[in-house]
Amino acid sequence: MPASALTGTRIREHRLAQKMRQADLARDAGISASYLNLIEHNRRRIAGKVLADIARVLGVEASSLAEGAERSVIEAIQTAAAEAPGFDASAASAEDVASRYPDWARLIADQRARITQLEHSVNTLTDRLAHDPFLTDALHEVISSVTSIRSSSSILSSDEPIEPDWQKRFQQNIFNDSRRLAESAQSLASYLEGTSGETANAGTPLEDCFGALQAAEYHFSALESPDANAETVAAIVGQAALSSDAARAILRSNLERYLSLAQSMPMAAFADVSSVLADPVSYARHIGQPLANVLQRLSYLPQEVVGQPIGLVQCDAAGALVARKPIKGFDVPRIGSACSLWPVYASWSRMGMPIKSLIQQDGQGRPALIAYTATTEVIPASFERACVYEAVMLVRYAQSGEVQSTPQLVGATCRVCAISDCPARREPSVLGSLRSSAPDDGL
Amino acid sequence: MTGVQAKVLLIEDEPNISEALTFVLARDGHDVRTHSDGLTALDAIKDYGPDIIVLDVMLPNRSGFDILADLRASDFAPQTPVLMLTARGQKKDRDMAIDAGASRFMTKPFANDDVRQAINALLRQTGNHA
Repeated sequence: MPASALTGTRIREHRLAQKMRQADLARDAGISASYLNLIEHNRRRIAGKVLADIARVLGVEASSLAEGAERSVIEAIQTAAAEAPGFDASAASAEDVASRYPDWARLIADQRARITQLEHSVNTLTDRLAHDPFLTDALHEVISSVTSIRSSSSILSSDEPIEPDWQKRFQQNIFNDSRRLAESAQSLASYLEGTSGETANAGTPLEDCFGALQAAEYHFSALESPDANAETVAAIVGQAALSSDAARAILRSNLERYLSLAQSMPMAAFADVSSVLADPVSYARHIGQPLANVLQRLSYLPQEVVGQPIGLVQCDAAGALVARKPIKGFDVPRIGSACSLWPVYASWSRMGMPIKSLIQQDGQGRPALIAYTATTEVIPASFERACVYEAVMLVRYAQSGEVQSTPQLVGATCRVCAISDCPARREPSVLGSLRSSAPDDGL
Repeated sequence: MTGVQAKVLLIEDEPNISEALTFVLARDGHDVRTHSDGLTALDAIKDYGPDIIVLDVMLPNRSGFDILADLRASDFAPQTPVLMLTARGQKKDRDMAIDAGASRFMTKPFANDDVRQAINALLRQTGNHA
């Protein structure tokens, strides 16, 4: 209900309480009776002089007529003024601003609310960095390893003589600490990019939604039932530990998509998942479904049905990740852009043509992966607007017989990628340059 | 030997850091003893009676700040100089260390020579050595 509606009702209430006729109030306030009638029935906005005149005739404060939503605007302006360092509010009171410039006042109130929300997000992220136990432990581990390496190596490199036994001992310490440093740095990088199970509560609605999906291991048995419907989705959303309406809206959208896929491809249709994973294109053709739908549906099946971990990412045409299901050995960035060498991005230049790739993510001991990529039409084209597409990429571990060539080396995101000569690098890595990218031999 | 011979108690839970510092300080002629647990650190101080303590902040079972606060309030070694080692070098961490009674504050990763010089300077200031 707009603010003026409350004001009009309140004027009418005051007038009737004083047994005053509408025509009398209108005359004394210098307006027509028909105009006052519109105001009282909340069909005209009222502010400034007219509001002040009516308030004078009724013998009340103008601000008391503006209680309700307008009051909240006034309070928001007062708070904004109080919080602005050095701002001199003596020129005009918040009531004056709200009554003379109601639209500007509402804009100030809305922007203050937005600033408050952003400050909350910043504080959440700062708090996460400062108090996240995993981050604290990981950083302590890194710094301890570096300290030990520095201390031991400076002993070895000094000019003072050192006995062979001590020399050997410190060399061994450096070796052990170097290995420990590599592991803790990799663990830290993985955590920052969002693959650790110890995910802290997120700062954005999208992250919040991803957290809820991860907590459910990307499977909702209630949605697999033939009786599942929108109420089932609403019940799951209602029970999810989400901190904002925006996160709930994103989760609802994801689950509605899940329900649609589950209804068109019931779990029973995946009796032989290993065959589907070996050739999803043939299977999609066989059941008459778009490949992208089959890939998405596979990612929602429980691991006991699939028999192996399945990862999935989905991006919009701008490259933003709108769905993410990482698996061990394939990191998906929590924030920011992913590696542009991922086959999912190549699909934009091969619309309608599925891609099968052999890839391996940069990092020690990472497995070779098979990636299937397809584009899908999210919103069909019309005369009014162009089609909206998304691209889907499923990843699974490559079987030994499938690694016939050198996998294409990819990263997670540039910031934590150590590929030294990557032509697609956007920014320097914090890890330094350690490895060269392998040629793309394809399959 | 570059410094004053003294009894140094190194309270640090990372064995390789302890080993390297022990080697360096012993080579300077100090008598170095190590301890790695926060909960029993005060007992170790009482038992050994060090001239100076090198104290890590993040220890198992008890923080170095708490140990230091108790030490300053104790009746057995309230004035013993303490060099604190921490992985965090922010101002608030320095302030916490100083508030707790640290004589010096050093951020990891440190250079061995910096630790040696800090210890020798503290020993000279206090005249608290063997």
